[in-house]
Amino acid sequence: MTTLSRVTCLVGLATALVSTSGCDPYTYYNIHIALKVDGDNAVKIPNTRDKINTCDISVYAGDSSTALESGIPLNQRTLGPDVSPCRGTQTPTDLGILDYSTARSSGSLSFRVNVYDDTKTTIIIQGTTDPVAVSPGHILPTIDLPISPCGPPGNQDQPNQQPCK
Amino acid sequence: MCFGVVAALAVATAVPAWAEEPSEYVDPTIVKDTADETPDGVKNLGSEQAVTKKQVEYSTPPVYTKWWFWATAVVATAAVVFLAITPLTPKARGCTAGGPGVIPLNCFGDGRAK
Repeated sequence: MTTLSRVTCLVGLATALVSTSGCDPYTYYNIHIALKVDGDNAVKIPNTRDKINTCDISVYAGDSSTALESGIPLNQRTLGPDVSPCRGTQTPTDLGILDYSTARSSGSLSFRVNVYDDTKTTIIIQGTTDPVAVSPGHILPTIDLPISPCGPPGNQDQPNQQPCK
Repeated sequence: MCFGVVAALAVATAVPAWAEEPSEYVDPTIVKDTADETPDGVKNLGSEQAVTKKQVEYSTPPVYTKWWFWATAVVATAAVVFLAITPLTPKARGCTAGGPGVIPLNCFGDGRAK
């Protein structure tokens, strides 16, 4: 083995090490969360919005019930880690866009937002996306997630509301 | 008859050759004080020539005498240490800033700080 070939081997080894750490294994999801204010089963303003106290998001593998991330409180990160977009009458119709990354190489993810009343345990508004396939190395197109009232039947304000999941 | 008596006496007093006194036994390994010569086995005992080891000769030199062996060892060791303290999985991209009139919410997931 000549000196040149030895040096070539060393350079090749170093290049291989760098290249293995250079690719992006993540899939990026942008979830656009907004109150559904039009059409059937829309959020009544102000009746339902007044009851909003807090909200969170959970991430599921496919459409399974096993959460990868469960009950992550929503916050407006440019305003601070504890500033929730769910603030009663001050809750905006357009809550914002959430940025999520996953290292999964296959399968799909779905997202569910729960909005709670002042008891912080009763879900009054909810929305779930369809499962969206992961695509490592890509930023997926923004996914709209409209959220609507949910709960037991009998709500005169929301006669068409769906049961909460 | 006189001849017979003389013959009988001669036979009786004769000493056979095999019956002579044996010569004194000498141990060949014993060096006498009076010996002038030093035995061969102890002639060079303790001299430099006696304790010098024979150099082992190789058909090809050992690999550890090559510079590239140690260079490779150093690179391999550095790589193992680097990989041990640095995960292969890179960090995720930075968070999107949202858009005009859109409020950026949480930014989390794999490859991002909790």
